[in-house]
Amino acid sequence: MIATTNQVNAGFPPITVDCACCDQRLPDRVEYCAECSTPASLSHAVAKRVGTQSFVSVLGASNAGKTVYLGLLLDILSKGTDAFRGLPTSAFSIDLQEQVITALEGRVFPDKTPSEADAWKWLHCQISMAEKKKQRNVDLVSPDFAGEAISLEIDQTGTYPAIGHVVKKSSGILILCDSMRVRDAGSGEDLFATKLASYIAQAHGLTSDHGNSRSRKHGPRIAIVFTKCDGCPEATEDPSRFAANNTSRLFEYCRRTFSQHAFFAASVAGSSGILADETGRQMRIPFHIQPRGIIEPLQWIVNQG
Amino acid sequence: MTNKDDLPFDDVSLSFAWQALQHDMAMVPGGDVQQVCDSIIATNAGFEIVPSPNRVVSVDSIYLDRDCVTNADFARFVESDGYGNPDLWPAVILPNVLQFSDSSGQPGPKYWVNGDPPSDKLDHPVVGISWYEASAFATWAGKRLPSSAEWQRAGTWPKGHSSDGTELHFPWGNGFDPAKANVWSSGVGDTVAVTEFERGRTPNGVRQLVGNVWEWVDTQFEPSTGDGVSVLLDQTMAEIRGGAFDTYFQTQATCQFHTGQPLLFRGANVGFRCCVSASEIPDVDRGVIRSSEAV
Repeated sequence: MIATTNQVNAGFPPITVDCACCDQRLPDRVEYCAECSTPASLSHAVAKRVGTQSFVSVLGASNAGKTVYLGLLLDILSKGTDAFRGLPTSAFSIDLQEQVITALEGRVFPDKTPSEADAWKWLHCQISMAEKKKQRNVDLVSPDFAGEAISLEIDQTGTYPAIGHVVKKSSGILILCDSMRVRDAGSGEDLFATKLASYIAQAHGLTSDHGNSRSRKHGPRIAIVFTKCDGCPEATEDPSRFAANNTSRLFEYCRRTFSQHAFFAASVAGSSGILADETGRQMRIPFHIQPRGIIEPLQWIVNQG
Repeated sequence: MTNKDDLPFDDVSLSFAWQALQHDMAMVPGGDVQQVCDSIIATNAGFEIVPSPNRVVSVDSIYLDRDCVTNADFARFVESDGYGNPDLWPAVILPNVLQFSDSSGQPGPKYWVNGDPPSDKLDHPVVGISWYEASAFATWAGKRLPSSAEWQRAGTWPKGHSSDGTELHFPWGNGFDPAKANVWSSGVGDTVAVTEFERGRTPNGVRQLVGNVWEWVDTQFEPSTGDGVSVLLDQTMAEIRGGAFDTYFQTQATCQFHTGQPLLFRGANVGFRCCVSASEIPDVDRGVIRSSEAV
């Protein structure tokens, strides 16, 4: 049977729910959705919630900083004020937070997210906002996708169904771009982000030149976040101008396609350096942590709703 | 003619000078500090930061500013044409001094306007200054930046050592308290006046060693590495100490934690305080006695 919210809250066993991501019915006692590999525990946690559920997904190229961004976002939300606070709804959300915070406090960045969908960590938290004498709640659901998987999915839709389902379901999407790669490494980051934006538009039935204003208006809210800005002050000073000057393809595509989009700058480290060994391996490490601009893109997305 | 600076102080002048010095600066007695020496090594999985035995460093006695240099203090340096005085700057940095301008292009800290500090932040620590600007101010004031070890000694000597032989993490003890230091968890999100968070001061009255702004010190930042590992930095870095209003982890705002910023970095969360070696102050004992008598 499919449980209603009341039944779930009342604890009627056995509880059968639909996948929170792709809406496929989940058989009892499965750990992951067979269609999209979303953890069943997430779907159960989402089903128990009352009120608005809002998928917000974080996309970006490999090494754009998605895992660090999501983990730190969750940690900052959990320590927020009444004006904007978010609490994880179950232990699996804390997994991601724990992985990121433990690494950052030890002055390393966390390990890369594996490409296998069943190894991705998901985040589900209830965001509460104090608004003029009343409290508004939004459930935030977001997976930590691997950059390589996003790349493969864009090139061949359906390779990673979870990505397509989440993007389609998301009312807000953050596109993360490495600001230093944007500034220093040619057009690669710009082209990838533009491809990503095009994939999102397609999933939501939007087109840049032919989409009418009504469909554009109902498209997802897009926050383009330039990450690692501790090493790129140019992006921090004016993210929108930085985008226009350095990611002109993405800037123009967003202007034509998404009626609600904005540019942000974010950083996690106060300063950082690159380690190298004799075999040529290199790894960036943060010397200290001072988050900047982590919560603002999400606040913008939620406040547009 | 005799230069007025060459004239000796009489007893009354000396007494007032000592009162002024003790009002603005605190004596930090010499002794040992234990410097944390985490080392970065290469492993099969990548790189790892591993703890190494602390290094004991001895420092001499100093007089240290009780507060960080404020906007009002720094305004006097700007007004006296500190940026235009080549004697205050290393020759190698003179071409860069022209770029040490405020938001309107006038000589001054990055966030000032028209050469003036924000009027509501005169008693806040000056920020938006590079290591070179901090050092030039110190020279102009007849002082210097403390070394990393001297800075640490100021925060750890008063309460002695814990029973296990380690230094205390904070000037007030080992337990963090956001009411005693302006860091991320204090929820302020900006600098505060140098006299706030009074409860976090050292017993001899040095305020805000921890929190509010990182402090430039006169020590190059060089992460310790194991065999075959090197750290690639874009620019030479100096150590900064003590954490700031936006320091996220309290473990990174202790008296032992050290990190760095490029010498030309002009951030909104880095300030400085100055010191004078006790040995450079003539007639210290006599002065202290005179000062005490005057009080």
